[in-house]
Amino acid sequence: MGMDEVKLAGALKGRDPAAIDELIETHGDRLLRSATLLCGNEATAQDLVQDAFVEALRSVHRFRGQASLYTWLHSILLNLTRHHHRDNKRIVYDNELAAQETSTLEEQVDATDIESAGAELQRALGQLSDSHREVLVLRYYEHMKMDEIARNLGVSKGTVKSRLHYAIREMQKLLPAEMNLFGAGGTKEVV
Amino acid sequence: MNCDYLRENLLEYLDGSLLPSDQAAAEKHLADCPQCREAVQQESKLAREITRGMEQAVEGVGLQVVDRRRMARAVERQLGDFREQPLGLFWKRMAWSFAMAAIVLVAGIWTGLHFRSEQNSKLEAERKPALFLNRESVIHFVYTVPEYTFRREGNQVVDALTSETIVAEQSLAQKNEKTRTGETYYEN
Repeated sequence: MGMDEVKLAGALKGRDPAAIDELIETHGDRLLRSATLLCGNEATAQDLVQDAFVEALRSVHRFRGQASLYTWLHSILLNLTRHHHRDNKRIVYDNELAAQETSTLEEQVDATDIESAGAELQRALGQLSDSHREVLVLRYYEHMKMDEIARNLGVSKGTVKSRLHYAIREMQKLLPAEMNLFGAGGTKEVV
Repeated sequence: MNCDYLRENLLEYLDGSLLPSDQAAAEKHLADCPQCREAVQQESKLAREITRGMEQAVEGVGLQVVDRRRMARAVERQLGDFREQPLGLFWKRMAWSFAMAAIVLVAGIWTGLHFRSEQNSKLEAERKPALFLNRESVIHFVYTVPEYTFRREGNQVVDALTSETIVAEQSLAQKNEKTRTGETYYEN
């Protein structure tokens, strides 16, 4: 945790009115992107991020500074996202993001089009189960180590590996072959 | 270190979270094994591609200035009095506690004072008789003396009960006194 983070955490604990603005300014965008990948809908993601900030500020006295502020905020966000999925049972993935970047069917399958690759990936993510989507986002977007993912999800490292393996296999099926995002390698299945 | 172990722990190797000795053994194995080197490269490429795809998918997602302000206000509303000064907030939250403490304190002081005044009264009562030490007390006695008599009338015995009421008055000088449970006993 850098010096600025220490100051910001101290200001939040001291209920400095400007601290909340700075917290949103510093971490809002990154949290929103992660939440959008996790829940597939930007509007819902904004609500989840807002709730995460509320929860974080309510429990800021418990923040010990062992992890970074972002890591702490993200763990709260992940928890809220999981509750949201549980409450809504079936996630209704918003294809608006995909539509923004994909105007024609030809473009959708054009592997050389960088924008459509992102849109395709977003669409494919939306079709994964919550647990598979979680591990992919935590591993490849949040760049978490295996033991961090296991700790965040409350499962063993073996389970994380297994979920990653199946999530990647599913993505290979869901994405157009031309995109060639996923090679033949990958994680070894651990059951 | 063999191929199976490395493939099973490929992600931990890339994380750098293997034990230092295992990490070193993996490096040594990779130097000699082109298949495992290929697997590591594949995994690294996969990670880069997925990361890039995810970043592209949410490239346009972000909070505008107006969104940030709206979110900050909404968070503050949900938190209630977050913007209140800590001291004001402290007093506001502690108001009930302080009110209750004040009531208990006042009740305690009142009880203490009341008890103390009672004690003082008792002590005063103990001291007061000294003022009367040399005074005389006049005691009135009223008592009845029964008399049971028997007489013989022929072959019969006749009994009779009579009584006499005596009224007496005597003047006594006080010699001693004791106070017990609020009553005063005089002893001759």
